[in-house]
Amino acid sequence: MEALIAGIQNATAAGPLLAIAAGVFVGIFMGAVPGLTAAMAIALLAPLTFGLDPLTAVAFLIGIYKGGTFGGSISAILLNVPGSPEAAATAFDGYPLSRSGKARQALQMALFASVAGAILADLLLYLVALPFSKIALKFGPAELTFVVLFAFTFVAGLTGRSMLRGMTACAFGVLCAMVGLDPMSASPRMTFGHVELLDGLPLLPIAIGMLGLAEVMAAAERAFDRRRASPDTKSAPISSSSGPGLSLPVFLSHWKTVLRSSLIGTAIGALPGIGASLAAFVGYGSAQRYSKTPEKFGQGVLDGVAGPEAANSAVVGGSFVPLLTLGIPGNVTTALLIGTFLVHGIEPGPHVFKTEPDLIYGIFTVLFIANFANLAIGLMGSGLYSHIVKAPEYVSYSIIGLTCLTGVFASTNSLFNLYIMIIFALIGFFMKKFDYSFVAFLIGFVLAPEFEVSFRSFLLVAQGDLVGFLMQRPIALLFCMMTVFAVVRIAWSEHQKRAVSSTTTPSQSEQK
Amino acid sequence: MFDKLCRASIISAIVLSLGGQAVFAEDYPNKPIEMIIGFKPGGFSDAMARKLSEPLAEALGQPIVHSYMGGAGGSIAATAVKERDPDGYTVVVATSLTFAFNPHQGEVTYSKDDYDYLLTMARFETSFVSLADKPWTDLPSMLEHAKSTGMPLKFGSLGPADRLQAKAISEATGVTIIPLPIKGGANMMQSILGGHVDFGLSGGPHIKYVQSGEMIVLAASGSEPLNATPDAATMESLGYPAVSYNSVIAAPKGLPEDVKAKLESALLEAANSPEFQKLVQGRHVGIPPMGADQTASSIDTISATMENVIKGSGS
Repeated sequence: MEALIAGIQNATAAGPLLAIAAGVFVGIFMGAVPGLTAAMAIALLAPLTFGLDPLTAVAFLIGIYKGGTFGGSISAILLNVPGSPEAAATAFDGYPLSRSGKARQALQMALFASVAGAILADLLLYLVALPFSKIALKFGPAELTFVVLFAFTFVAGLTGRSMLRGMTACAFGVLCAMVGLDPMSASPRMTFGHVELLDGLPLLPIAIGMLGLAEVMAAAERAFDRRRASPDTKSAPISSSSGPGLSLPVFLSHWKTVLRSSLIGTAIGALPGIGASLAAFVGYGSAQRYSKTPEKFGQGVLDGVAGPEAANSAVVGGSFVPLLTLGIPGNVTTALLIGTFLVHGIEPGPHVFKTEPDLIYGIFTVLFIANFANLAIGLMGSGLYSHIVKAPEYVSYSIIGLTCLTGVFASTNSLFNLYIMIIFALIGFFMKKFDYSFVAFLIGFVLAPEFEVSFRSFLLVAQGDLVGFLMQRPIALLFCMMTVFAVVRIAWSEHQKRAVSSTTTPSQSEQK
Repeated sequence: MFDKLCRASIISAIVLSLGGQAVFAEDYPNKPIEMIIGFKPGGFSDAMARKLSEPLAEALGQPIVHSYMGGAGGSIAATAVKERDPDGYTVVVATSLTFAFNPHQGEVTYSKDDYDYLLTMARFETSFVSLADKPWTDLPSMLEHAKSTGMPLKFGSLGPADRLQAKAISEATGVTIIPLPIKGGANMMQSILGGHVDFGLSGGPHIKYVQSGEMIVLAASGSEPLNATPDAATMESLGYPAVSYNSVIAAPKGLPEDVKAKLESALLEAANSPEFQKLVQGRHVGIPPMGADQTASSIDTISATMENVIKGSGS
């Protein structure tokens, strides 16, 4: 208890508070600019903190981490260019909202959902960090196989209007994820002699190409059509207004989505090796799955923004569970944080709770305060950025196109990734034209590598006795049963939908 | 008049060009040196490269400019550097495996002979580790245990090189080893602590668990003893193929002799500087820095070892 109070006192001193605010500000900026990520900001700025006291240093970096996670959604919503990979799912509904004149609402929904998700995750970290870290250790290949398989069922609803086309797109995503070194035999697959492809196709260039640049191409096509119809039309803005802000009651009416996604995000954050992008997709998928109007997803619904944003922000709190309790970083950003801890002579792990309780509670408090800093700084900005949508299309789309190119190049310093982005922009453009869901594609692409490694390891470990092995692993068995249940439910509701649509007029579902 | 002028200009041209030749090595370096780091920013290799650059820039009197080409275990950077001019203004930071092992995998377009090796600045504490409460204390006793119980060993693998080592062990002893690919050192710790693998390869994160008594080092993966656990046997001393994971700096093949000498001595001086040594020793990866010839011969040794293993295992 004393340690708790001391921790809170230390964290609310001027130094850490300033550091949090500065960190959040930098983080939002780095997150919002495509190509710059929070991880990069931490890598670049961590050496600056070596001279500070440990808590202030950690406060600054946590501020960047939290601000960056929200910041990625800004460019995803306004420009359809995800500022960071985990914001890709936010663009699915965020950008359509901007186009329909609700940019501010979408931005504030992203902000509120992010903050709420993060607060919830931090609370959970506070309460269950130690017991949960013990459970997380039990997640081996068998467990991860079924967790990922279960995650697949969440996104089965995201296939667009046609299940067959959705599955095709998803399968294509899985195929693209197979490029690179085979995880077992290390023989190259589909690399066509390119060294750059040995690590597989990178997510960010693909997401930016399919979402951002493909949209620029679609806009160019629309403008061309308009000009042909009447040569002297002026270029219109993306939307004539950025709309009003989000009122608190409206936000609260989405509490179910926020709560569900926060739990998903926290759990995924606490598990080893599964990242924030996957959490965001699962958050989006589950929001759609439990929505009363699932067919409206992709056309601009607030739930479609709240789902992924609450989930990817909750990952931050979740990822501190293994970081603080076991000293195991779950992703790049927390790995960088560990490096900073070590520089300050802190060795994260179970013993830290005993040796430096002040510091641990100080970090918990910093995590909390950073959420409110995020809220305040995010709110100040959201009114301002949302005016971007009122710029004429020829201005905004030129900027979007340029941002796609510079963003991809800046993030990897590689022309090769630029070509990949352009290729996938073309693919994305035609997928959109022929109504193949790029959401389904991206989900297949993100989930497949996790599934492949876990499943093949599971097969090896089980030594041919899959059922017998599964019986010894209760957690895996639980997820296996949940997966089966989910699949049966989806099949049943599809069946019912068919039964209903065959009795009503089919014209409704054909409308664009 | 014209004749004189002509002669004067010819002479001055000759003098200039001779001077230019003579001045070249004296003059080196006369512009910033690009250091291409074969890893993503923020990792420990990056930290080492940046720390090394401070005294290096001082020794050479020119700034060091960093660029990052992460991916494929340093191979992307190595491929790019191979195409650069061997003028001493481009160096690459990668690992011994980038040069000595990755070319054997067949997919890269360079070989170990495309580079002038300059410096080995650190050696990772790469070792085979397991939980301390297992019924064995080192690699031979683990293999003995597996043989007597007929139990297959689950092995957490970080890459193809350690899988070849495991394969060699398995062929020599008849013990079944199941390699499971694991992404990164942190996940490896999770897999070992959670009991999902019986033993695994680790490049450093295990040290704190060894110190706390939760894990033991079965053997060093290379031919040199480790810093943190000097008593552990090495793969070489046990008679298995040894792979040392060294942090290496190289340049494209064909550096002028004097440029190479100057660069090598500046790099050695920087690697011996107290601030660099403080960083690497703090992380248990410090070694007496090795210059050009030693680095080249260590790359040759590892390369020959891996070639033999690959031939022996018929893949």
